[in-house]
Amino acid sequence: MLNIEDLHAHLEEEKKPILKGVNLKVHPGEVHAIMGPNGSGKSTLSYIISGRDGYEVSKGSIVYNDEDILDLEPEERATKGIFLAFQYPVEIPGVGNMTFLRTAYNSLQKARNEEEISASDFLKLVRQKASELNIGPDLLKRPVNYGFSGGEKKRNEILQMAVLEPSLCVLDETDSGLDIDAMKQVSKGVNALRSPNRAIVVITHYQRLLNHIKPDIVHVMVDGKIVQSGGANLALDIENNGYANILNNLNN
Amino acid sequence: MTDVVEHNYKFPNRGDEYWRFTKPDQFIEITERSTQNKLPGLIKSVAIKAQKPTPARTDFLNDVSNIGILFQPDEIIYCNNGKKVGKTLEIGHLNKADGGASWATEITGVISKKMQKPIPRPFAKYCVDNSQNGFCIWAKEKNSEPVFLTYGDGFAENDFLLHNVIKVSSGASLTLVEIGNPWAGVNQVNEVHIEPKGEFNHIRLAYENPEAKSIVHQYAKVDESASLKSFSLYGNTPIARNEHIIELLEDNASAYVSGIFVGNGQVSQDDTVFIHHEGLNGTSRQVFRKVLNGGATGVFQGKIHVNPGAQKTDGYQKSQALLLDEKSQFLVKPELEIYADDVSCSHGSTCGSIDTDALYYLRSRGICKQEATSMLSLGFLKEVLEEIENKAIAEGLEEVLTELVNDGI
Repeated sequence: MLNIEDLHAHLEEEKKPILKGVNLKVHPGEVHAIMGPNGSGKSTLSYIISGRDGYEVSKGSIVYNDEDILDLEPEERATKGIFLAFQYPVEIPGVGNMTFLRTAYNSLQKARNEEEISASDFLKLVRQKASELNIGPDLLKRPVNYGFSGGEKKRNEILQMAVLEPSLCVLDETDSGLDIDAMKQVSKGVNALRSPNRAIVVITHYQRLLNHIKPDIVHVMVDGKIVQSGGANLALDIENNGYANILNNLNN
Repeated sequence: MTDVVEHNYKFPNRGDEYWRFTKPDQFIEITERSTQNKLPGLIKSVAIKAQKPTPARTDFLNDVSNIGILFQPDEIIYCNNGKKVGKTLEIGHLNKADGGASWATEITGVISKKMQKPIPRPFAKYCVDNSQNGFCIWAKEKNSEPVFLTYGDGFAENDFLLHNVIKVSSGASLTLVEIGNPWAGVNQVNEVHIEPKGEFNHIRLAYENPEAKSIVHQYAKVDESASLKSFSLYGNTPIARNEHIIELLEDNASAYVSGIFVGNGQVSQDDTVFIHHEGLNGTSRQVFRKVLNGGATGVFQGKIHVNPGAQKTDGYQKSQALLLDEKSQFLVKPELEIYADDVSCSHGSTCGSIDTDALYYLRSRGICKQEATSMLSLGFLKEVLEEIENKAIAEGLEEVLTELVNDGI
């Protein structure tokens, strides 16, 4: 489904490399976790997958469902089923959450030559998904993420994911800023989306989240590269010993 | 087109302090050409249950009210939907040759004349002195239903002078909606007197005609504990100046003025607002937002003037623009002139481009760049609709605004 090969990237404004040869293969139905110390390039990788402006890919490729997506606009990638749950969801005053969700939903429908959904049908759909995530009607009426608490913002990301039903979900530090109850709720929402046709990539600092969202494969990213991959035990090892062992091995 | 009439009015030039951002030349042309153009007199005095055609994109207003005037090149239709409006409301033609309505004489030419000082406004003076066209509207009691002044189609060939006089009696209320902008050019003056505890809500919808040039002065005298709220929506007018001159001479008076402009291309819109506080505990608020694209120009000049006796004044002024390209510009001159020592006044002006993080966020959900830009622009403008007292009109205008923004981006 997703095949990243030898990806090198830097900020357009600075020549300093951030990604220095990332390789990652994700198949449908798999859940991958990417862990790594601060500044290792995890978020940058997620931005480049979703098509954020401001980064330049100097080498390598990202192939998604047999198509090179690096030249596609963010909205084109979204219509092909790529979804990034933001680490810091953006507050948008003046744009209603419901309007935003419906516009996004209908944009995807349109791109797939499918019929747009009516306001009343959409309301039903969203209400059902929202109640599963414990999101009250109040949050749907307010402007997008505006004045939401940290937990509400993250739940709103998962709601979007549940409504838009992407085939590749990248979760960028979805656990940051969440208390234990909120994390359980969010994880429940993510687990409900696990399916044989969908892949999930979870970016996180902590093993904690992975107790709730069990990964099939864990990768460790250091200094712009994936330096180690393994099963769920690798995350436990990091939790117990930090990144020191991995960094030592690299240096040797 | 009619001949230009000779006159002794000294029109402004670009060097004048309040004409640095908007060229007065085109207003001079329309004013000089307009003198001979007289609109129809009192042809149909009452047309009960008249079908009231409205300019495009204002259909929603039919559900709001049916009281008002439809003003067309060959006739004037008074609509009252069968209700007797005489008890609470009087509407008439401002027939100056006949002396007009007797109640209007204390306002007509009087309010604007006093406010020609300290800053003369020759366009307004010309209109008041020479206009043969306009209406007088008197709210005698509370009027819950809005009153429409609809400028119908068919004036596109001519420039006009238009002079309206509005009185809101003590304790009375009126919502007046001016609809349409059908002229080639118009020089308009509204003179308004709101007596103690009166409420005047005014809405100007000038977004239908991409050819119309307009200069409007609205003079308002707001008495003790009376309130004025005036909102305007301009869209793609090639050149428009919307000027408010407001006097809060007595205590506890309030004036809220707000406006939206959606401009795309070689268009320009100017809001110039002067609010004079003289009474105690006065409140004023100026809120303007503009979305500018394709080289459009937005202008805001706003002044809060607080006289020495106007203690406890609360004045607020905010003007903001969203520039969607590098050619568009927002020119502002916010001013506070305060001679009292116990007041709370603030002003702020901002100008910026679309928030790139928000744009990326929307696009990452599949919304294309243009639609995302529209959504963000609309979100930016929409807040100003909250300034409108009548919620049914505000809601209807949200849809109009959506269309204007989608067309303009």
